Amino acid sequence: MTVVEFLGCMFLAFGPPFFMFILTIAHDPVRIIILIAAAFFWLLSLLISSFWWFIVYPLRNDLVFGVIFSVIFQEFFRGVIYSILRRAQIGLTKLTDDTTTLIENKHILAYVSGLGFGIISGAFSLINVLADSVGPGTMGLKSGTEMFFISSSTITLCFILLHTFWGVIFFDAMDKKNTLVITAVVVSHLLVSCLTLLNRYQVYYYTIVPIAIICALTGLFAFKTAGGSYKGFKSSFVYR
Amino acid sequence: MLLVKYGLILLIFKLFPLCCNGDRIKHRMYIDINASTSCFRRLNATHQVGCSSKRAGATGVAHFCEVENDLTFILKNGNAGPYIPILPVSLWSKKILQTLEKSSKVSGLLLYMNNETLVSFSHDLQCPNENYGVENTCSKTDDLKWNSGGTGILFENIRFPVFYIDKHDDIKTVRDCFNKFNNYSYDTQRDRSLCSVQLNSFMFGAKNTPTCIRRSNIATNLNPVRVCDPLGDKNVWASLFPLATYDEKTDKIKPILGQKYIVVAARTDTASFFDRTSGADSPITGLVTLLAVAKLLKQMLPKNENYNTNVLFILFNGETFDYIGSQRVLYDMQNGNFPIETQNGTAEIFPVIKPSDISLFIELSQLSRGDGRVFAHLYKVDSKNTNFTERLRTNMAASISLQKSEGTLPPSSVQTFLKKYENLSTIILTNHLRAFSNKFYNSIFDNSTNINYEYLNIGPSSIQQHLSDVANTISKSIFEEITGQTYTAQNQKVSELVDELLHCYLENPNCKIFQAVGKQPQQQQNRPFNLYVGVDGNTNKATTLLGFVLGWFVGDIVGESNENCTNISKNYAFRFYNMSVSMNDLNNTMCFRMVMNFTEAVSPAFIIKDYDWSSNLYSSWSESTWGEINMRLFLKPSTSHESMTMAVGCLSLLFSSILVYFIKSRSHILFTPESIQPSPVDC
Amino acid sequence: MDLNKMNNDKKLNLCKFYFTAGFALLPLVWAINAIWFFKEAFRKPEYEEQKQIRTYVIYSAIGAGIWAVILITWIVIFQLSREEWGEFADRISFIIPLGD
Repeated sequence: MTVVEFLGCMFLAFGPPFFMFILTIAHDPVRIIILIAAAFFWLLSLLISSFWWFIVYPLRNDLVFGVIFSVIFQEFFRGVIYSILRRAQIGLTKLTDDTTTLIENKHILAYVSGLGFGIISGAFSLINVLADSVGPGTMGLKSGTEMFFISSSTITLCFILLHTFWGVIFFDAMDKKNTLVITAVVVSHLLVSCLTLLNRYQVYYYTIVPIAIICALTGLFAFKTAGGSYKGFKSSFVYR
Repeated sequence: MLLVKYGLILLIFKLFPLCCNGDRIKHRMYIDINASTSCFRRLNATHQVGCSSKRAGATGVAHFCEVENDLTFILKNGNAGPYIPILPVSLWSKKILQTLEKSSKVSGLLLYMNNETLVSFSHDLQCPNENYGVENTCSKTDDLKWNSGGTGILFENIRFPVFYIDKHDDIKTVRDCFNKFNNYSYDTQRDRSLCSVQLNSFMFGAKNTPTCIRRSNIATNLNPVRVCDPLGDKNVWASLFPLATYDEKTDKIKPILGQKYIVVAARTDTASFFDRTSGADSPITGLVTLLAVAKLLKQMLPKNENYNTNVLFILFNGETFDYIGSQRVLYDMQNGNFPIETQNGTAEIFPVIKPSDISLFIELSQLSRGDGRVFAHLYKVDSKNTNFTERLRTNMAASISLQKSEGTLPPSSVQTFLKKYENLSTIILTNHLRAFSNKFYNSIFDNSTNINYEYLNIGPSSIQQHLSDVANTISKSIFEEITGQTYTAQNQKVSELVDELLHCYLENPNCKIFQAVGKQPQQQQNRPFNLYVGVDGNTNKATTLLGFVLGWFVGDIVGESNENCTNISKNYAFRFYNMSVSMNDLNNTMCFRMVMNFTEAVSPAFIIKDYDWSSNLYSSWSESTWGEINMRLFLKPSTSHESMTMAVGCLSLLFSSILVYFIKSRSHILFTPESIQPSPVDC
Repeated sequence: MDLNKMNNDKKLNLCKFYFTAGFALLPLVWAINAIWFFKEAFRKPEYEEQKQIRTYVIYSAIGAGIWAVILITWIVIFQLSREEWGEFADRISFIIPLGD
């Protein structure tokens, strides 16, 4: 029975976002609302992408085409939710018990909406795959390798984290009107998405390794953007 | 909803192209074997027999065996169990079954067709239908075991599902999968992904017939599911002469009363361990001979010239399962409901035929040629059957020797009648004296090879010639019995007819005879008819066709073929159909009038109110229902791979929980917030 | 309803109401009562109505416990001997498991 495989993949892909949600989001209703709103906007981008894919009939079988436009739509809706959140910020602070944190640290809104994007995109890309992994079989009978499920989960995890980081970086860049960073976000999103195109050749290591590296770098950049520094990182260990 | 779902599935693969086209991953993980048939569950008054899988199906590592040693090897050395052995069907025996039942490493069984020449292959009991026949006619201890090669597996309750595949492509797929993934270094099987089989044949009914019938009818049940159906189909009967007179002027039907009947009977059904039958020797030889006799008698005796004896042809269905058909016919006869149901036992259209109206009961059993002998079994010897046997002996063709056997009674529909009416004069014509000469009784190997049948090859010692000789003998003898005169004309030639009939049943149901009666199967069906009795409420196409063929043989041409023909049936004493004049002239159709009809072949146990199931008076067989029966191949991941996936998942879980907690609790140190001025709040 | 925002008088009434409602063969109401008012009855500093609340909570807990024991015993007996009881078991079942 490969319920074991199913659970393993689920823990791998959704374990980190689960703890992020429980420990940083769940206690504040406003954050939950923002998370869901962000997820909704991601779904809208999915809807638009699928309409676009449906309309442009001749290119339906060209995955590259779909991928590129889908990324553009996703980033567009990230912009949309940015402008909405910034406008609604004052009102939101009235609702929450945790007023000071939300106002003082504007990165929290960015983080929450980024995670919302990530969780919903991760769910949509992996749930069907996970459903098939319950068993009793695994990949590799006709084609493919048995690393398929674990690779898919890893890539999904990277995407969830990347969306969170991109959220933080993107919102900050919008605040500062920094076009260069905004472009960097879109380009890196495009790059990572196109890397997954290699999966059809079943060279999972060649996709996972670059994606993981990009993910780590983006993470560091987001850390810095959110006000983190090496000094603070060090002092966080000694503090008691 | 479904559209939306599949739309989204397509989208996902567009966004994250992990796969090359918009298919479910599932389709690449499993190979469905569609052409498989399965053993299923039947129930009687006290037991359940057959097989069932668990609700989710049975899974096991495939192990393809060519010989028995392959099986013993894996049962002894296999370390990656549970296994599903894949055995050639010729190995399927009681001994193998016991070995498999005992082994804890077996979760299912897949059998495949092989063309090995077998000595014997029969899954019925050694004494078929013993408990419902006349006592002491079969004994397991001495040599009077009719089906001496019978393993009885058909009536075993098997704890795992058993499937059967007979298409070469399917067998090759399974074997290739086994060779690619499993068939090397058996010591390390545990550490590899292995080709495995899933068998899904979950049966709804359980325990026994009374239980499952009761459960099907309980009204308080929240999800009323039919969990079993009684076995049953239709019996066919036809009479040589009309049973009623019809006065056209007054439009009155008057039954002809006070006649005696010679019953010529045969069975129509067989069974096998799987949902696939052959049944060449039993029942097809007997059945075809009966049809030929009907055809011949109609030519010899076209009209009833004040004979006080009529001939009644009866084809019993469901006889394999404790004589369902004959029990029902006898039950109907006793209650005045044969040949048609009556209100209070008084005749209106047809005379009510009682068991006492039967002057002679001739049953045609297995009649394949064998060594050219035909045996007449006379259980209770009296003047009637002795005389008739003498007539048969005189009329028998030179190539056949007829032998009389007194006091023996093979498994036959006659037993049902003899059990209640021991003085009935009976003859059973068959090709064996003691044990069946047919070593493949009720199995898939009782096929045309078993009776040496070749289409269009009517030699002097062929099965076609043999059966037509037997049919000629019987019909001449019946002619003499009815008229009291000797039949002097030449033998009628029916070997071509027999040839075509055998072709219809054994090879191709789209044959000339089935086309001639105008009721041929609508779809181009290549496989011969399945002669398993099936469940009540679902009349087999084969039974319907059989009725029309019999009616065609005993029918009269009453006029041109037109659409008014069938409308004449306002006259209920007859049936009217447009049929071809002969099988060699299909396009020339005429209007036929016949005395033929169907009666229910469902055991009386299911219609008697408050029937006491423990009385064992009538057959109690029912068939479990099921949701789906299917089989597929897949790759079972190795334990090490599974553990690795789980370990990675748990590490991710653990590490992320620590990291997130750490960052959260230290966030005020890690992140120095840039203070932004809140926009002026408007009040 | 937030117990913290309620005065003691109302708390007592509510607890009493839940306790009486439980007699209408509603063991879950007793269970809820016992859990909900547990803090009020045992953890809060003493006040006038607390003694009565405590009594109701204890009796609700006992009632719910007896119900639980009865139900669990019945379920175990029924599941173990369903097949053996045959027709009787089928008659008192709402859902008869297939193939069993």
